[in-house]
Amino acid sequence: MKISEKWKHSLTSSQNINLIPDATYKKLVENCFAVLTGRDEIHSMNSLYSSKPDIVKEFYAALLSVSAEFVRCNLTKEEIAQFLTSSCNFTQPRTNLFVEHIEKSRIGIEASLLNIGGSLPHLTDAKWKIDYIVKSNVVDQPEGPLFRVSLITEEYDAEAQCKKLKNVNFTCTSQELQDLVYKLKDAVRHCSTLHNHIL
Amino acid sequence: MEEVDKIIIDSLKQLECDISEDVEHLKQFDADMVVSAISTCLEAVTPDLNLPKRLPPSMSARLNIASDLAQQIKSLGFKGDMGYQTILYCNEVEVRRVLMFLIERLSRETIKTAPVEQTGYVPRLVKKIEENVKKSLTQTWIPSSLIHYGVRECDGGYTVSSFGNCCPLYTVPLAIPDSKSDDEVLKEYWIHTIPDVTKQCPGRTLIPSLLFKDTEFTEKLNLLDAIKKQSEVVSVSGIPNDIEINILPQDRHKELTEQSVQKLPDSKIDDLVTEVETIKTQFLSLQEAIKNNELQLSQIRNMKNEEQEVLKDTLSKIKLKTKTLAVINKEENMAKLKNIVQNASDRLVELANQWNQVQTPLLDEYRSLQNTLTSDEIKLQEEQSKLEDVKDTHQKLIEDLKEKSILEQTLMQKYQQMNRNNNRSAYTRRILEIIGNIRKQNNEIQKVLKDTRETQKEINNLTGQVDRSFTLSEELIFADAKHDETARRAYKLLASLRDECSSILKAVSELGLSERESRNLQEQIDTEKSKEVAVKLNRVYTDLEQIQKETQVLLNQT
Repeated sequence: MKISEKWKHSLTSSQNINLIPDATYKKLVENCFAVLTGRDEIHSMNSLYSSKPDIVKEFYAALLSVSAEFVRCNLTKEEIAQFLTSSCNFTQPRTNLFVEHIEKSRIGIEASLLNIGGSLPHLTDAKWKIDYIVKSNVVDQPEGPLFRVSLITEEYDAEAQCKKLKNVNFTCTSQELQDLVYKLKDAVRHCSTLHNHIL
Repeated sequence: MEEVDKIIIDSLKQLECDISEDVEHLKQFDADMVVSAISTCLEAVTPDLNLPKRLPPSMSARLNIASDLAQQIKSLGFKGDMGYQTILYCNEVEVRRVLMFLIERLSRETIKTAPVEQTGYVPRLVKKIEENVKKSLTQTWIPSSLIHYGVRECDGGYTVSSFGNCCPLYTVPLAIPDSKSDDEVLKEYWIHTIPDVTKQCPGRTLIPSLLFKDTEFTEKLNLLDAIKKQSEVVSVSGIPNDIEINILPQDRHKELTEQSVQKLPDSKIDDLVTEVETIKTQFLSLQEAIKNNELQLSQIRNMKNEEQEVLKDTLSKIKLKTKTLAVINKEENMAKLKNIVQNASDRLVELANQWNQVQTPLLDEYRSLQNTLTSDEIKLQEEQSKLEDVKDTHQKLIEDLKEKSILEQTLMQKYQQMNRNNNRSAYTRRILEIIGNIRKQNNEIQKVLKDTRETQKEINNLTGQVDRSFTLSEELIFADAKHDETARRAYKLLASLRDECSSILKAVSELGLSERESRNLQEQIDTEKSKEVAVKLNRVYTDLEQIQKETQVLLNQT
């Protein structure tokens, strides 16, 4: 685990009760985990600034990044408590509060971390129709029906900042479709053998 | 049955059930021991239970506990006859059956948990993967629009069903206040204008921006160099044009000035220039002279001050000397002064003596103290070195202790595994012994069977012989009987003999049958005797009486 000295310093220096009172600390922690799990902040940040907005801002940033780092490295409760009390001079109640919150929203943060990175679009549905060519002016027309398949996928859209449905369209002859079906069946068989092996 | 008893007692001992060393058969078990054995077994099979290990003195409580235990055993799936009587009025055979059933259950449980213990990173990871796959295979399908972030929670863990909502890794440089900095302007900026980190970038890029710093360049100098180099490369093509543009205006300017100068007459200009030059040099020389003179003036002033101070000193000295001269000139004063001087010198000598007297012991003491101090210091150093040694040894001992404790844990694990193995080997040895015994018994049974068969054959032979001899003699005598009267009588006798003999044979076989029957009956009697019904009945009567007494007491109390 790599936590920079800057964050450690920020966390340590904010332990002064005059700078950040316990109530503010609690609200900051709640906000922090709400943001990390992808929700909106619970408390308005402007109400938490009091006399030292820069200290609060710094502490908040440190709290956010340190929490994300803890979950990224999959630290246990005890390791987190140990780190906070020994390296950052956290008091026992503050440490307990932090650990309690991080345990509650660990899965949420892991989900947020999982959703960083590129991946293939997620297939959710398929629409299809069969076209028959009754008459055509082209001589070398393929025999048999034509399959028009539209795969419906989910993909992250950077502009809207959420997932959006996208269609992947293609047309194939019956032979090509059979090829695809065989490949899919192969994959399914592989999965089922894996399943049997495990069970 | 001895082997079974041994196995049962051995397994009970492994369960930490307190059975004394001299107990070797289930016959020696009393009700208390049976209860403790059954309750430990039940606790081992279902770990949540907490059962009493001893029977209380009160009869009704005993009955309750026993029926509880019986209920538990029945709920585990015991098919035989089971009630409080099996536990309280224990019969060897029934107790054996119950304990065998419980221990069978027990071994199955332990075998189930045994192979789970896997260590090492890779096996654990594989196990986790297997569990996750199992979970995701058993889950029902849910439309993916209902799943937040493509992750489904399920009993303590989660399964990933889609990466459709994955945001590419993209970071934004974040501006964060730094309490170490002393820059006032920056602080003002931080306090008043900078937004929160959460508002500096869109929500999905916040976590990557916090965790990864790929937009920050740690080596800033190199970056500058790189930019410079790049600009150089770019400007190479543009240089010639620039130069031409720059040169043109300069030339024009020069031409202009030259033209304006040429308009005036040359001689006048020369005169004026020389005049200006001379005036300039004069001015410069005069300025230097002023500077020199000022320096000289300051030096002279300094000298004057010094001289004045010397003068003051000498004047004060002269005053003193004149005064003393005036005093010394008188005789009396001289004598007085001499006296005073003499007295003072005497006094000085005296004081020196006194000082010496005082000083010598003090000096001695000081020296001795210093000696002791040095010795103390040496001692102290020794002590300190000892202390350090002790600390070192302490540290070493602690390290040793840690190593030893780790070793102990590993050894304990090994020991447990070994124990299990030992147990298994003991069982296999016992099983092999039992198999050997069975084989021996089988051989004996075969022998006995052979014997019986042989005797059967003999009997058959003999009966055949008897029949044959009868028929032979009958024919012989029947042939003679036609002619001879005695022979006729003999034939009659023979017939009667035959009847007698057959009746004797019948009697013998009947005897054998009845003997067998009597043996069976004897066995039945033995088994009935072993049940000790009379003793048990007595015990039941006494227990009943006790219960009646207790109920009576309770009734009286109410």
